[in-house]
Amino acid sequence: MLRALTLACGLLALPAHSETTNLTIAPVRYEAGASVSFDGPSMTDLFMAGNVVSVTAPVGGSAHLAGRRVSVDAAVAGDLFAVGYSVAVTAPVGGDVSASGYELSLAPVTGNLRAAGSEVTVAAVGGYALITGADITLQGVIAGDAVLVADDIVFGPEAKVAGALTCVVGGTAVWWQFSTDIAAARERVAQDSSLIDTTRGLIEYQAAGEGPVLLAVHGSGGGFDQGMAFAAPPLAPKASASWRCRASVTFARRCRPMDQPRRRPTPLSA
Amino acid sequence: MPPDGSAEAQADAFVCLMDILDTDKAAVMGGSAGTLSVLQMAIRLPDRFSALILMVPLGYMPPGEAMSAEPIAPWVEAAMMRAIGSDFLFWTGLHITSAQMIATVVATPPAVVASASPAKQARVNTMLDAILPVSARAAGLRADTAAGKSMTSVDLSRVTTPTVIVSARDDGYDT
Repeated sequence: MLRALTLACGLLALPAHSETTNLTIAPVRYEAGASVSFDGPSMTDLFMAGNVVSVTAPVGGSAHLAGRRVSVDAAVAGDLFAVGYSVAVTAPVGGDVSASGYELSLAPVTGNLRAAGSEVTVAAVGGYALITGADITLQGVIAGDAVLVADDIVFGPEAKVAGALTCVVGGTAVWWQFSTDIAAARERVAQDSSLIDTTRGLIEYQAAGEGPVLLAVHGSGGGFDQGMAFAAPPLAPKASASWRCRASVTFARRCRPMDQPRRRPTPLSA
Repeated sequence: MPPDGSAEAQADAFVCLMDILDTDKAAVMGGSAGTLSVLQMAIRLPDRFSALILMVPLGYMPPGEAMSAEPIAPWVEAAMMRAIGSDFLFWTGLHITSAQMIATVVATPPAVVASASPAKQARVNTMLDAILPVSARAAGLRADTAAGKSMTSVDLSRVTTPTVIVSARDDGYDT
């Protein structure tokens, strides 16, 4: 799943094949094209998109980069936002980093790190780190808290988390368990109930037992199943009848008002 | 959600269902937010109901009444509203923050559940698990939350049906 998501991120970042277009609106610089490279001079903020995107000169402000292959080989003073099939950052980033892609390789980050990818390699992080990936490799110190969700996590010799560490290893297994549980839940609520289309709208209910009738109306977070669960303990010994009605009914306007003489409404379908 | 999700409209629908199922009279039981429509049924058509059972009923509280439980922190409520839109977030919460889910969803002090019998603990867990798929219930949950914040007083003197109310002093929803 993670691989598919990150691959999708990379594909979405593919540029149109066109000649490089440079647009400079001081002090911000925009670049787009098949292959774009920033080699200075230093600007406040940088925006680049292309098939191959490279930064080879220091960026004075924040850098916003999207491409198939994104490389940052010069320092970024501000925040870095990068997405691509591969994102390789070899120079330090002064602010926060938000990055996604299939292959992520990140140099030391002074601020916080938020990264999602398939193969994620991270050096030091000055703040917190929130990383999801198929394979995560930590090579340095994370000064703040770290939340790591991955199939495999490798801690290098210098790796250390100074803050609280939360690891969820085996993301595929987690997703499989969730998918299994939610499928079972959907199957459960699809069984043993009846839908009836009344002049007051569609009502889902369940009937069980014999004897005097108890109408059980569920509360928040319910369906008919919660109503029956509410009613089950007191009724179990006597097995009285119980109806449960889901609140998500659709109302029509043809039913008689309740203050008029009672007359049986005609079911639209039985 | 229907265009009119009011307690009165729900009451009409339930009576409609009784008519169609050929049920002239019934005892009626409502839990939590379900009690709002139960009360409307009893007030508007008392001859149709033999008894009311109101379990931890959501109901109007006059201004100035002392809360019996600490109000839920705004950030917790915001997190809950976010979680109920996502089956995955809710499922994750059930697995990694079960105590918080018991406190905020079941509205029961986790310590009380921890000291309960295994059978009662299992019942609590079953009730929590049964909320999935929460995404299918999200619209109703949000509507119930909105209804709980805009309740007006109900003339309870009009309820003539024998009624049993069950609640708990430490119910986190302050029923």
